[in-house]
Amino acid sequence: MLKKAMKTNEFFVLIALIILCIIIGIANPVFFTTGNAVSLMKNSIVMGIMTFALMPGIVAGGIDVSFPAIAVCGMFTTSKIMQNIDYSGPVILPILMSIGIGTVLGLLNGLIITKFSLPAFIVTLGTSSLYYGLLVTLVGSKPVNRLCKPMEDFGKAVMISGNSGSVTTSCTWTFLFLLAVAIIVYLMLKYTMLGRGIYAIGGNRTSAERAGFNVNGILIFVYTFIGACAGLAGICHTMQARICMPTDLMGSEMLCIAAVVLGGTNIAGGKGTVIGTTLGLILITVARSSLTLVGVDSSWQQMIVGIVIVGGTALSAYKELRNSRKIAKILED
Amino acid sequence: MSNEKGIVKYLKDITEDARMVRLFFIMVIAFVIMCVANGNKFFSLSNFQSMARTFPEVGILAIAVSLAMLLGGINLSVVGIANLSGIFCCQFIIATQEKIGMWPAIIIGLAIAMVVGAVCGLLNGFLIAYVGIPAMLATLGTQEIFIGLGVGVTKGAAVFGTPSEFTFFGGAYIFGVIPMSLILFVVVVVVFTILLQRKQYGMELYLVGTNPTAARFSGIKNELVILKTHVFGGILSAIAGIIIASGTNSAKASYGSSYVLRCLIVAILGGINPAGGFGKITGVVMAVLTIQFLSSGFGILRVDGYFQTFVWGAVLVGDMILNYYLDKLAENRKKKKAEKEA
Amino acid sequence: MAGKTLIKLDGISISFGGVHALQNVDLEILEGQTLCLAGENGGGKSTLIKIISGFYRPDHGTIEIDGKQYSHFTPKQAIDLGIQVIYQDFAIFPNLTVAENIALSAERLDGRKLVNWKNVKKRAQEALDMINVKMDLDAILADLPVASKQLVAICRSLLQHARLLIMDEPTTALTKNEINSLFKVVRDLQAKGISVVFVSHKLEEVYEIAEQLVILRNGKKVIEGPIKDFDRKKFIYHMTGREIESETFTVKNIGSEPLLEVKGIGIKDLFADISFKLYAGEVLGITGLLGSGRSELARALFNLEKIDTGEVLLEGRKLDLKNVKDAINAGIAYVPEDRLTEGLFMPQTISRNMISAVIERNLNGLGLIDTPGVRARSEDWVKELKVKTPSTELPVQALSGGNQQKVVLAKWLATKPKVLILNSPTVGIDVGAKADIYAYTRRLAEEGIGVIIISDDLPEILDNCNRAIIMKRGRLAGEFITSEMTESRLTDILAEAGGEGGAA
Repeated sequence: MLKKAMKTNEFFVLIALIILCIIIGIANPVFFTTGNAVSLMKNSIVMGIMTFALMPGIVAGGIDVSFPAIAVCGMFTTSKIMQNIDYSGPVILPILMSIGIGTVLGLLNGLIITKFSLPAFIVTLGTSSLYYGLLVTLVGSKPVNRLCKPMEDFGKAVMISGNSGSVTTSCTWTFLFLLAVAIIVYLMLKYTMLGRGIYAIGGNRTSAERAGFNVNGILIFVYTFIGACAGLAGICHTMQARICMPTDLMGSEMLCIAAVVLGGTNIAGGKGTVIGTTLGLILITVARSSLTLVGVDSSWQQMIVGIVIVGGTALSAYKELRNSRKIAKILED
Repeated sequence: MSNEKGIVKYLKDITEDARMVRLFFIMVIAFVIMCVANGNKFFSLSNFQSMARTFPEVGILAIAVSLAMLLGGINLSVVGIANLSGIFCCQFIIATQEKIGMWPAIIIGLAIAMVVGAVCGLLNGFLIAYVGIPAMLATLGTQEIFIGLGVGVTKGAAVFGTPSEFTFFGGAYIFGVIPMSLILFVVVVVVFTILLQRKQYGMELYLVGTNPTAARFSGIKNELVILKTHVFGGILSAIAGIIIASGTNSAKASYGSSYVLRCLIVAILGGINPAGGFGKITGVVMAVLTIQFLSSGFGILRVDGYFQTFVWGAVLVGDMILNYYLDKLAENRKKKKAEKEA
Repeated sequence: MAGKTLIKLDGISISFGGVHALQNVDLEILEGQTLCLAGENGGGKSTLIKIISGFYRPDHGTIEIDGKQYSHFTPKQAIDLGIQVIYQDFAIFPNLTVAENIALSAERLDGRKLVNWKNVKKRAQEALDMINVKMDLDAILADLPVASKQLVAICRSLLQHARLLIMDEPTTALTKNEINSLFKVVRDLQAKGISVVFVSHKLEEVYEIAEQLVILRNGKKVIEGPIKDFDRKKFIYHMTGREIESETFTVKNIGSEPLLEVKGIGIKDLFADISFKLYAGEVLGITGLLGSGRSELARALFNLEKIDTGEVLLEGRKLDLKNVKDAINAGIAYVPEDRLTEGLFMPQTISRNMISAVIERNLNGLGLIDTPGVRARSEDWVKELKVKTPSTELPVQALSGGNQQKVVLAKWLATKPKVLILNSPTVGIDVGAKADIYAYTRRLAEEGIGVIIISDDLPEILDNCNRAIIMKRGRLAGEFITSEMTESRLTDILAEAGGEGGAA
């Protein structure tokens, strides 16, 4: 059992993660405080929701890069409207609204990609620009400085807090959304026909069609799901930040894709697990948040994160390359 | 000997390609609309000069992206490479112009920019060909590294202080009329048209892009072709970087972040097939002109920048959808014709 | 045994890019009937299957099932109607386990939205038991040999409440025992009233299993009738459209020294201890079941795979090749098995394809591609090999299968080879082109080239080679002079536990 576990991709990511943590911990003991743990939790929420949503897409063999734009559309439109009407009802309504906007935009992606059989990456690059341009043209680019009360209250409410030295860090209830998305994706992929269909499409699209899977339907679902989760991630980001800037989140697609790939998901599709993605997410979050802890100058952080991403991707890609060269055995021993 | 025939044949090849004809009309229509909408402001020497000065940056970067797309890949790091080359070039010139003289500093600076571009391209090519990272992921990642390195060495600020002579490459007008950047663009177009259409490398590029397995079975060294293509892409990005730095007489890590999308639009509008193997530089040239006409026209009309973002996205998606329908139409017509014959 | 009509095709026609794949085909399948669909490759069998399974939409004609008329239906509808196809490429999911590959579709068909893993495994095991095969249910398909994949594909369709089971050449990778088990399954199915369409060009199989025979040629149904009305001669006549004068190949002038000498070569896990000699002027056959290592051996000779042990001598000199280009320059050419993916650049022009292996030999003094020269040479090849095309500047995909294969041949002859290796050179091409290719290989041999033909088409080996070797499970299992061998004896030798069994 242990031997089998050691062969998996997750095992390597876990080892890398442990080594990274030990190095950072030695460089700066603050890393091992409850305060830092809570801060890591907090920092993983928005990126995590998008990462878990993206994973099934990549397993099905398609990459969506429009989710940051969708997240901004969801959060900015919602925040603006809620501020304008001075909303005071339950917080769930703005959250659902943002998810709804994301769902519609994701659905549109899915329809364009499947109806015209176009490459997902290029389509979503286009729609990303299209959505974002339209949003700012219609809604404006002025940040929402004061959120409506329910959203602000939700963003202030503390779920858990921890100390590092004299500083107290706290994490909001939005963390539960991250957990929920992770669990939903896990159950969906493992125990539903839809989830197995996603793996089937990633493994061999033609076979999936022949086996009677509704391939286009499944793909439309996948992109819609990404859109919905992006909407959720966006509103979570706004509530945590307690301000809504339309320039936030843009450009975060690389980090999310990297977390998925580092977690052992095959970029060509067919392979990927929630456990692996979780590890990939933690790895990226730790690497990003801890650079300041170990004393890296802020102007070099982007490059170091870039190197970590490329390095990690290179390892898993190289492993995949070697695996693909492995051939079915003919000769008996 | 058959040079004239060659040119005639080339022109014939272009006109025979339905998509190229279509693109030509789109370009003319864009031009006419902008002329009508803006009147003399658009149809004027000064506007033509300003357009001719501006579009080569995107045009050269788009050629770099197109090369990668002909392989069935993509290159999202061109802007990062351009800025990084520009930064190293400017920093070198500023640091050494007093010691070794201005022109030697500029010339060595330019050489450094090209080397930086080539090395960045080499890294891309290595990651794609030998490590096996899909081009999109590899170049998305190296884009972070290149921009990050640029931010690191400049602390995020713009690099100023290059001598005014440096502006020659991006800002000067030859004979007082033709922008230097346009001349560089023409040279790049000619060189790469020959490279792609008439050299062994070009044919190997198209073949690897069409079917890498068959290419390997034909004795083509796919890895080497990929490596070369990305080195060329890096050098082209560096040339664009020099034009940008020279044009603004400064360099900055975050310059031109919208160019990646613009390059992709140009490449796809120009008929470069994202699946690889098909497309011509001629198409890219027409596409970059079309986009420039629109962009200048919008500028004169004072169209909001965010609305332009929307328009570019719509153009990219719309063009692909249009091609889907036109291809389908052509297929149906072929079918009907075959039926008639039967 | 046969009952009322299950499915009736009426006047089906379809064309692709101007080429008629099927013309006005009628077909009726009765309940519980086992019908054999035969025909040369490229005759329209696969297209017909794809129409019945809802994959292609016919241009004309109707399909009637249970008395209901359809102009076309979707693959999902076809499955719901009880139509199951076992494709030649098995249509499996390489990233999933054996259990899932077998049982998932059936579970889906039962309308389940959730996956019950216990149930999946149970049903998969039941299906394996049906054909008496043992397999690890948790193994990932990509890691298994070809024969196991084929068995998985068969098991899967058994589970899916099929009323009509279409098997597209299901026996290509199976051993005699496995084929017998499969036939037993087919007879059981028949007894339950399930119709089976068996696609094959292996005569022995057809006689053993089928009741009714339908032969397609060039997209048309040429004849239909009970199997007992057909003798071997009639069968072949209708398959090929002519009396076959099987004039076997005899060596004219054989070299005295071996041209190619293979000494004990092997690649870990693939094949071992392969030795043979090829003389100039010879046509040597290499045969064996799918997955016997025959293609891997060919790829190794062409340096697509590195050999671990042994050596290869060409004209007495040891070959030290670093890559494919070295092999080409040394005078070895390899016409690969799958021309679509390995041999051709389908959307590119004929002339580009023809020079693709030797671009560097087509440059002018300036180092530029000598376009007029390329065109002239391509036109010469078109004439030489009788490629039917109006221009060398057309994309290869506009040609028929046979003409495509001639382009591949021209591409490799343009390298001026000393040794020409042809892997399954006539798969999917029409009779005329086939004859042209055979005639041309004979001529090449007469001109002093050493030719190797790799094939599991036994008449092809027997008629066109003077000598042949047999491979089994990655090892040499015999060598024979073709004139001293019969087809039925060779079939028996190959099928005797020749492939990889269900063991995994």
